[in-house]
Amino acid sequence: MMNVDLRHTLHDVVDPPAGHLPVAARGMSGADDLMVGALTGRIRRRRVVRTGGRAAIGVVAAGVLVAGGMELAGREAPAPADTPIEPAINAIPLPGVDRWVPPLEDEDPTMGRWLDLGDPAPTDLLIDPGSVHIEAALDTTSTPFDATWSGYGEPMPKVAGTLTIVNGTDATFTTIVALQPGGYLVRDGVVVEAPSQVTPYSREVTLDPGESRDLTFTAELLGPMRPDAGVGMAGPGAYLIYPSVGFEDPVTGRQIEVYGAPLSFTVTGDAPRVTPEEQAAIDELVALLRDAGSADPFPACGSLLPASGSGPLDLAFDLPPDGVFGAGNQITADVEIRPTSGLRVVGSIPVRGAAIVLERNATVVGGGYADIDEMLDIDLSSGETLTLPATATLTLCSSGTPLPRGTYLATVVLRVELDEVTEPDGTRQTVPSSRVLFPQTVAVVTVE
Amino acid sequence: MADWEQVLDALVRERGAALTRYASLLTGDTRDADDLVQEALVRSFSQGRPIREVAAAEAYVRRAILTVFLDGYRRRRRWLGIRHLIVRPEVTDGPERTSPDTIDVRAALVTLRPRLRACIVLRFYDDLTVPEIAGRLRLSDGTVKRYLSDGIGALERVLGPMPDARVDITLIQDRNR
Repeated sequence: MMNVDLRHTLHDVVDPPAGHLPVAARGMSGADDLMVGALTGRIRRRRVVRTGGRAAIGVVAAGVLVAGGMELAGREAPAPADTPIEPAINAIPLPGVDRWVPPLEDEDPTMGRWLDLGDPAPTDLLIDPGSVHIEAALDTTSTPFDATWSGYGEPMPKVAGTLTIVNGTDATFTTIVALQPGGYLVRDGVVVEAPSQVTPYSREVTLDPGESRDLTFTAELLGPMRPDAGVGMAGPGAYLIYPSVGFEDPVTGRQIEVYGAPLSFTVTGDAPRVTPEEQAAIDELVALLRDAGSADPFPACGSLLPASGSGPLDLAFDLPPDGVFGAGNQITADVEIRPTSGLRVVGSIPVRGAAIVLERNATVVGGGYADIDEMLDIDLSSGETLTLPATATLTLCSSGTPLPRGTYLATVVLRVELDEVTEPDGTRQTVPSSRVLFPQTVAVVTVE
Repeated sequence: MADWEQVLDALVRERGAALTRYASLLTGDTRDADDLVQEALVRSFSQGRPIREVAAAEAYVRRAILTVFLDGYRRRRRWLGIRHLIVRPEVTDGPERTSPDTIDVRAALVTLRPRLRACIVLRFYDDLTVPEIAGRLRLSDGTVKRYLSDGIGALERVLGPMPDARVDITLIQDRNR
């Protein structure tokens, strides 16, 4: 094989030696006439629009200056209309964390501490109508609050409702609703289920004085799920739910959590039932997979779910709410990725997108990447999102054997080849590393 | 006819084919290259800047070609909208008689990720320095160096050794140590 002179060859491609040019390429052609005519028309239209646009902007700007001057003359100390403000009450600042940016290296991210399982219920709620606050109501048409879960194979009941952000102040409030609205389940004064802490939601909300915005919230009636517990239904009894939402200051990136007054509901019926034989069979299977693959890197079959898969990209996904699928069927989800607050991320991801993994007892039992082939460049700045597909077949790893009837946890994973991360202050870091990212969020997948 | 219209007319007739071939180094496909060049021409001549010489216009449009190419995959946020950008099109000869070397190089370029491809073209065709490439692509110098090294490595796996390119990359890396 001869050595290729890359520089010389590239120039030959663009400007071939004269003898290699066809007659049509050496002079005028009818195609050139058509192309020039079409281009000239497009460019003329654009130039007209640009010139007209500039003139219109000038007129509007002059009008704004006049109106602004008149208004200033009549007010002593005008408050800037677009200054973000912080909620005045029932907000829990994250201690010691002024910006929610997970570190780039593989270490535990300090996310700040939100209410956690076992914590006492909030007692300092003082809903002041003159503040930015949230109001909530349970959705009476949703899955019954007096819920009975008869066992595996039935849809998992959820509490759902409407959460309203109210700006009761006299200034415009701008925030990013950073986390999916959810709720804390409290029983006997103790938090028994908490919403996911890092579910990216990222919807910017601007509220004028007195304005409000409705969002929906849901909370699954589950017992503790992570890191290695099985799926359990909240037992019968009286509960309170504190609707909550995470706000992010769009300027500083600082996050706070706000929650509203509690709503009550009850769970009736028996605790979930599953036949001892079914439970034993699944547990035995999971143990076998774990023995075979626990040393393999996540998300290989049998590998263990790592404690954290955070990185410079946040992932959110959406599976059908009932989550009941036939064994051996395929499940799909849209996955939305976006840079963690303020970052720009340059790298590549698999052409096929993200993958869904199925877990049981913190062990991968299905889904994941079979192999990785082509990669696709990505370049996402702060606030930009990319929506990807993710699929998985409900079989035991790649064996083709349908998953046994039962309930599993599903989450998405995304392999990322990172090239460069730019900090909000413009500092660029070349970060050659391959990593697997996954959200803390999980979905319940029931196989029947 | 306005000045810019005369320059546009001359540019398309004299250098249009060369611009399309340049664009095809990035796209790997003549049809996409045509679209790329037309969009770059419209963007360049719509700015209202005085462009009075064909040579200056060509440099300006070539720069716009890169911008439009990179924006093409940066700004499409739905997967279906960008998948076609990574499908490997077959390299087809234009009306020119091309040498085996040029066919091989064009085919090999198409196997690279778009950003690596852009780095290779900017370095070995446009003869830009690493900082200049980094500025165009809004990347750090270190990332550009890595892309160049990875790109040459990938091309060598298809085309065989490219000692001149290797020396070039090594010199860049030594100079920046």
